[in-house]
Amino acid sequence: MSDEILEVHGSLIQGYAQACINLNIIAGKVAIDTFSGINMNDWYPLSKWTELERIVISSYKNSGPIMQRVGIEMMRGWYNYGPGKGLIKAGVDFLHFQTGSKGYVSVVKGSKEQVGKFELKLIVKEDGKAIVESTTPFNKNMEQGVLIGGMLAPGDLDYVDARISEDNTHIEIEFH
Amino acid sequence: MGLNELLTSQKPPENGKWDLKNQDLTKFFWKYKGLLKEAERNNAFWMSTNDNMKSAYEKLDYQERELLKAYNLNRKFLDNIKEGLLLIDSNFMILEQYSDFLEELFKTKRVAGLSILDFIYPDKQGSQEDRKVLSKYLNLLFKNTSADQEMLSEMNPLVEKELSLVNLDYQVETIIVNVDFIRIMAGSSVDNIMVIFQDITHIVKMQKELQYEKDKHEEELESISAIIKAGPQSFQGFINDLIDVIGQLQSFLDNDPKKNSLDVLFRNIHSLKGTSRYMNLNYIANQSHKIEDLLVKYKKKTTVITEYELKEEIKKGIQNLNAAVQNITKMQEIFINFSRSSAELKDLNQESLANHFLISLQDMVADISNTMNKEIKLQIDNTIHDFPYLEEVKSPIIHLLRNAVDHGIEDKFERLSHNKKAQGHIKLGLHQKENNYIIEIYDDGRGIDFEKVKQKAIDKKLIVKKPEDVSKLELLNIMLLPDFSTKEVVSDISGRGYGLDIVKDTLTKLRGKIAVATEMNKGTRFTLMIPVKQTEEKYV
Repeated sequence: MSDEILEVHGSLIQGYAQACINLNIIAGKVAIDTFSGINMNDWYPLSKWTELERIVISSYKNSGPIMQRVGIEMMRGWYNYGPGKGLIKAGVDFLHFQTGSKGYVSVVKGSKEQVGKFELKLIVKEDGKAIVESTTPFNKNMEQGVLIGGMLAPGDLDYVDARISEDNTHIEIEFH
Repeated sequence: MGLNELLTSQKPPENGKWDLKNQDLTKFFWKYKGLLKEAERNNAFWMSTNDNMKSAYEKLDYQERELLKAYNLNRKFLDNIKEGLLLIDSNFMILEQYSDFLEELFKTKRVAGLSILDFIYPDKQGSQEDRKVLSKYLNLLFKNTSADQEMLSEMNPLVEKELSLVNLDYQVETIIVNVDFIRIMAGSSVDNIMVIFQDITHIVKMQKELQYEKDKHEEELESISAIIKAGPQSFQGFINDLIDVIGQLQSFLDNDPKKNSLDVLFRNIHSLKGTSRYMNLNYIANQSHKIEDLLVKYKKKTTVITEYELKEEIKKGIQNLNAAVQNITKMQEIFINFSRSSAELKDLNQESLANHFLISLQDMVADISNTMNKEIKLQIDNTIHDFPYLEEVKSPIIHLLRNAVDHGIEDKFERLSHNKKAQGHIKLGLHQKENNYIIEIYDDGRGIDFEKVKQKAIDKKLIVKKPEDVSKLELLNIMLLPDFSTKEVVSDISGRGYGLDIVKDTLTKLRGKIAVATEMNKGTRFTLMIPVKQTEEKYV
């Protein structure tokens, strides 16, 4: 295990914050107190991110659908108001983008072990199937939402679903 | 009709003219499934949100119930606590929640929404100064958060504060309160001040009653001690003198006195004070001293209060003396009843009474010299076995001794600077020489300062000829005049200028003579000579 501290890019935190505010998950003074001082271009320790995740998760009895929706909302914002539209043209492109060098690995910084994997293991476009291996320290429901939101964002796919494997290490995607 | 055309149209094509290919049907299938999936995801999201809202409502409900419980508890506390509690904001306005006791204490239903200044001091005109002080103090509490707590407590203007208020029957009532002020902070600033009123009216009343009982008890003890010290007969004489003085004071109040009779009154009350002090009847001595003060103000007209107010004060003094007469008479009766069974007291003769008196003078001199921080030894030599004028000469002896201690003997530093022993020496001698009783009072003090006497006599316009032509004998005669004293400050011990007048008056009545020998820094000797045989027209 490396002594290096895993860091998260400010843009990811900003995206997360904006999604939470858009969905009214947190609002008012709590939102201001929670997200004030986050700079888009800075890096923050993973603990900061974990703390922000905890705020949402601890507020809900069943936080899975909420975190999934946060992930979808994050990608909707990224595509419509951020750089997304210029980077991908079709839903399937997002799979390649997110699992490539400009995707997940560009917003986290640390040792390989800490960063974990977010890799496209299989894609069969004809069948509309793909498998992503995920050993990141992030919430799996949110990642699930990120994949769904990112793939639906360009609007060319009629159906996208993502299921988390029982061992929590893979996400199976179906798209049409 | 193609799939896209179909989906954007308002209704299905007429006559069932569907022009859909297999590819269109597949897309339609996935679009439909996609919508279902989205609906499923939305449903899950809203279910979770709903759950969350439900638990939030439950939490809110629980908190509301807890809040209500706390409010009721708080209300119960505020309704039952026997202290007045209220909160004020930075405009000094009283907030909604306050304890019921406040209404009871201040006899009003109007509390919340009032300024605390108006609440405590409803009479704006009559309590301007009090309102100003309280307002200043509250400003300090709100604005100066660094002020020391101890200093703030010392500055608190509402400690044992007497407040006048109008009750529900429009009658003025007085209450005494202790008020505490507790700052309620919001960060580094003061948000509110909690004001706590404690009703101490009853406690203060009890304290006064206790003090009254204590004073009465001390007065009784003083009376017993005085009876023992003076002996029952002399004590009766003292009571008679006291009653006389009260009568004279009453006459003074009833008629506007001429200067001469005022001088007599002064002399008698001064004599009463001296005798009381000698007998340790401090209450009577203090009352006499107060009345003397009032008479001086009356005589010199140097007071801002009116003659009517002065007389009212004197009237109070008379009432106090009357009460003292009743008290000591009662004690005397108890004591006499008690002493009837005492063989010792039955056998008291003139000689033992004289010895009793002379011994008690030692205590008196010791008391006064202690008060004045002087070291004095009193030596008494009495060779008169059966002195018939003992009662008459007691007062002159007391006054001369008091004068010797106060005026004659210097303090030890002055004595040491004149190469004298630190301890002063007073001798009292009572002898019979041929046809006279001789009473000598000698002190080794500073002697009479004739220059000072002369100056005082000039100030009082008692000298009509040139000052350099005035002899020492003439100055000694001036010293014997009533109201003459060289002391600038009147003390409890001397300074009124009536001591020597009393001596002179007594000696005149006894057809006696006074001789004075004095030398600066050596001492003074007063010699009183009283003829053994008094003629028929002896004083009455």
